[in-house]
Amino acid sequence: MNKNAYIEPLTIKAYRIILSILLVEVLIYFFSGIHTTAFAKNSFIAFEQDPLLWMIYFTGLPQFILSNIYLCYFIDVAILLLLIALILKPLHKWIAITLLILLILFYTIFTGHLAHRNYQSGYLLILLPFIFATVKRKQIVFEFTRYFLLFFYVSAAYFKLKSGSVFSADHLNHAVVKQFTPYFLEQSYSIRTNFNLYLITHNQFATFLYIGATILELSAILGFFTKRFDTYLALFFLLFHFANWFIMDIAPFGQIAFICTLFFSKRFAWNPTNLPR
Amino acid sequence: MDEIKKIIESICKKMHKLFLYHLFKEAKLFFLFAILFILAYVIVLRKQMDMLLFPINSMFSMQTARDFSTSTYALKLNGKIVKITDDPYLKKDFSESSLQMFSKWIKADRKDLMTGLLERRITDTNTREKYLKKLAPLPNTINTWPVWFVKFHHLPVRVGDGVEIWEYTFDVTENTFKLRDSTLVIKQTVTNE
Repeated sequence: MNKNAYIEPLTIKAYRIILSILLVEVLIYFFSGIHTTAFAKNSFIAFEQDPLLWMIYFTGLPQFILSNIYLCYFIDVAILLLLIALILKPLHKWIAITLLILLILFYTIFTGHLAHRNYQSGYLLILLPFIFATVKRKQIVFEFTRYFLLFFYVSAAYFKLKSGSVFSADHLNHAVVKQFTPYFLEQSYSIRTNFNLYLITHNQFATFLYIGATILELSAILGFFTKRFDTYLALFFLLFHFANWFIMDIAPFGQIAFICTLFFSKRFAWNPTNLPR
Repeated sequence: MDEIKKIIESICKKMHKLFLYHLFKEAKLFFLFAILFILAYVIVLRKQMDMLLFPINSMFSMQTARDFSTSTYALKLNGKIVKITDDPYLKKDFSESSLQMFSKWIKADRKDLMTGLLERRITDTNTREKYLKKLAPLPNTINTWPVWFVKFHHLPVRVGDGVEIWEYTFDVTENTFKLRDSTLVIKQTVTNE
């Protein structure tokens, strides 16, 4: 029996669009000099509270990979080739499984050596539906990752509300002080460093932006009740991330393709009767 | 009794709209996974821990110090700063973050979260060493990492070159960043390329 007999050609086209965005993101990583090969012989690691990361490092696998430059080359090339193969054959689960394992390894190595949590892990979550063979399973997992995406943003708003920072009149203008320090040290001035100084000295405007960001994040809660606003939510999240890059110097690479799945959520997700549409 | 029946019926009606309800009806294994995932998340949230692949997004929600001073680190090769802000964003971010953590590790007498945690949790020295070998930087990292950093920026490095890491502290006053202080974190001569 053909497991994918009911997949519409337009859905496959949408899969390819999302995977192509993912490919662009991976290329941005690689052309920025962030790839497995770049970390070879890098002996400094530091972890945050992340038991799963500790477990992977305890196996010695990341250290083994980084001790062999040819293995690093192989992993980088394999990631690119498998991603291209998945764009061509988005229903091939073994391509997706292999790619996901390699990207998890890359993410582990990157985070361990970055010595700091990288929050943009959407490029891993986006592959979860592709590792299942049947249409129904793919759709269920898409639905699951969609809820997680929404939860990710709602939780960000929740923490801002819980800590009370959103009600503080001078939170953001203090929080942004450290964001552009290397630029000031190296005298690499731009419109962003000028804006950073403006925010530090104008706490009312900074508070207005912070409340705006919290509202954008909180808007994700709509998605738990209906898929009708998913396109707007995707636009809100993209706006949030690009504003984050401008204001906080935190770029969204690794998260863009994941957010873009919201543009196709009705097509991708599981929709048994009565589930919010 | 009728009231209770009505309430139960209304709850059942609402449940038909829940993703988890449909998972339970149609894909029990996925339902089990979803429940375990949610439970794991509750534990993680309560313990204020991050998790691999699924980080909790609490960035910039915590209250920060109420002053306008900040610091950053820079590596100098033969007295000249290795510039990171001309690099593409991801490389700049990696350089800034790892240089900061390396400097903090040196300043804390080569101790970090993992060494502290293992010292508290594992009393047997041999077992602790076994874990530390895998989960903490090796002792020679202090010499090898600065050289790796220079090479990461495609700069030539030779035996005898001088490498320094400095911490720079700034104050934001009169609408500008003013350098208040600079402190040497580490100074060494390259002995092995």
